[in-house]
Amino acid sequence: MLSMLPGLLVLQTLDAQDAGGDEIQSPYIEFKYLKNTEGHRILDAKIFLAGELGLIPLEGLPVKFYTNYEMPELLGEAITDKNGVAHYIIPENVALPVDEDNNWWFYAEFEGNERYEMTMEELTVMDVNLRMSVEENEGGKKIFLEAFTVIDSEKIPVSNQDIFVFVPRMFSLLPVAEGYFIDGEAEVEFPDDVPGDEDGNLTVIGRFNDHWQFGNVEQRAETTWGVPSSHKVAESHRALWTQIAPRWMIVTLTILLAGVWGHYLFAIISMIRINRDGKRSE
Amino acid sequence: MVRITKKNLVKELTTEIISTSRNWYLLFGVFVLVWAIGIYALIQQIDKGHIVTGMRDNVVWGVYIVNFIFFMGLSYAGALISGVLHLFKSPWRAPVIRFAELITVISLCIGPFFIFFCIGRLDRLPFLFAFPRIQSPITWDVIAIITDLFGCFIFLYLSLIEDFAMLRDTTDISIKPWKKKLYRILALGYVGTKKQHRLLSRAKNVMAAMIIAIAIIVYSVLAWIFGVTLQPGWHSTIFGPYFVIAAVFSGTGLLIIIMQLFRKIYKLEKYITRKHFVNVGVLLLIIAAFYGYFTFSDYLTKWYGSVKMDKILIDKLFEDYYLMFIFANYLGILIPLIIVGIRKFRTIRNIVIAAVIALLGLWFNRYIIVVPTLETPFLPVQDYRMDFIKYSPTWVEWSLTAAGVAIFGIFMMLVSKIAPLVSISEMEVSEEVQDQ
Repeated sequence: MLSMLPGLLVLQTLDAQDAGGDEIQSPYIEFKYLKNTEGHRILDAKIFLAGELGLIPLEGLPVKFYTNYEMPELLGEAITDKNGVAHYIIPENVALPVDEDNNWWFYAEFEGNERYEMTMEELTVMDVNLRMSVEENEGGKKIFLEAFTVIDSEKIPVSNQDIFVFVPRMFSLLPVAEGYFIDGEAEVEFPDDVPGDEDGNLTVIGRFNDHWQFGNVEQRAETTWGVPSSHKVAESHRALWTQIAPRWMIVTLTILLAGVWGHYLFAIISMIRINRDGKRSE
Repeated sequence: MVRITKKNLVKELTTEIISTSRNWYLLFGVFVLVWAIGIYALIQQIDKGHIVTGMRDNVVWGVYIVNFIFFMGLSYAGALISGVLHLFKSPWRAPVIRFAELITVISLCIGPFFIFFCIGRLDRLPFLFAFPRIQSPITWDVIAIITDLFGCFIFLYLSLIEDFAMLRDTTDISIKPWKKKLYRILALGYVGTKKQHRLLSRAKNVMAAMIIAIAIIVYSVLAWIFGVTLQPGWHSTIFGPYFVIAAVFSGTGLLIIIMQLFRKIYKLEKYITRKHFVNVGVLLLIIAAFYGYFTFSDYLTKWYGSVKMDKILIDKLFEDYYLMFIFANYLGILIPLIIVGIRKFRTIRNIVIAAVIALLGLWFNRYIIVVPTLETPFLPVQDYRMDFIKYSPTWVEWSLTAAGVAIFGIFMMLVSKIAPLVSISEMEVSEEVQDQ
């Protein structure tokens, strides 16, 4: 019965896939704001399906981005990439309207098509200016951060807010330290044991990460604070193509064959002794 | 309780040695005819080249390699079964063990010939011995097969010594002088002294243990030829044990068929009873369960992994090879399980049917391991002609396959003219004799 299962599973999956092809599906949207080191304001809308197999990003879908809550204005449009992300950089010359709390309002919408239903999401963020400097002295490796907002041309320092320090890793940003803003300033000690490249180069990122008020705002700095590490993998030749077999293989085969043929020899000697004994008995 | 005397044993188990029945000639004639057709096909292949086979650029391994794996599997199964029966002194082994030993040696002699049929440049064959590369799995296989062949020959010969001595000394039956002379040589002067008995038993025990180990290693090596190859469906860590289990499955099936065949032809009903069929059948049942588990595990992990080429291969198995796949991996496992598993189905006829299905299922299993993979190369097939894309065996390949089966039968029948197919010495010491 066990052996029937793979077949049943395959057939079941094929049926499910066929059935899924005709229905209009409901995608989800994940909407994020990022202000990067260069001061670019970026809107990312990720559209995906949530199924039993996990999140399936949807590629090639148009997403429209709007601002101004009172009277929505189209900022622009972007198409989702293979990761399902529509990436829109707000041009620097665009003046974004703020509400009474001094927040920007953004809205992302996929209007739907014959396969997927319409989906949308909105977010509000307050513009914050983040500055970062790094310093290494006898006291250790320090990161100094400064953050402030500007309301009616007045500079207001950020207080009582957390900030995180990250380093980029293969799939995501790895948080390595944390700081706290008091009167617009935060000081963070950077750990000594974070691996860098083979020369110890490491990008350090100070970041408001998914902050409830500021969204994602980051500053990056290149440092040599990483522990030098070599990622070179020793070149390994496939033994099959080498001139001489690996020593372990020669040793293993010799032991195996000697063991087996040794026993054969024992059996043959036994036969010779049987023969000799027979002759003696005659 | 009917007690079988030694005199009766010798008389009844040597009928084919002292005379030749009509059935023997008839069956032998059929086998020789099939073999002759195979020889004609081989001449055609040598004359016209491999174009007369279904093998082309992509599918370079066809039915010949399937047969090679199949026969080698039968051989290793024979070795395992005979080794285990001997070592564990199974009380019912006596009428069965010689068949298992013969399956081992004869299959091992036939299997490699299919490699020769498959090779395009036979003139390069000596290079394997002249310039062996230890790091090549093909060299491992050559070494393993030669080692196994020697070991199995020695084990078979050791188990025959007592029978040869008995046939040399017996006066109960009339044996031709040339055969008497042959037995005198082959018996190695064995007269059954305590020392000789001790030496023989120890040698047999050692060799029984060795051939079990060798069978497992050697068939694993054969499986690794596939396992170490980066081909869809082959690059699997489970292939070693999977092949060993599959081999024992097919060998057990063949053992049952051979038991029934020679039981009928040589009138051995008194010695090979339903009990023996049930016992070997139960062995088939247990191995079928393991084999089913391994098959399931192999395909499930491939399917679940969703590697593109594995997925294409599995789709192909369920489309182009649907019937073969179902027969090999479903019916070939389930029917033996059901027949032997349910007590009321356990008749000799049913067990033999289960064995035939198991054996055929295993052959098809080998086919769907070898051929569909080669039809699913990583790089697209460059030739658009259908015979380059899809492999179909030709009459030449089928004839040589049938010839392989026929030569197996011929060897079995020829051996039966020299040595008893049911071991007299084993029967003598067996409690079975007393029970009957």
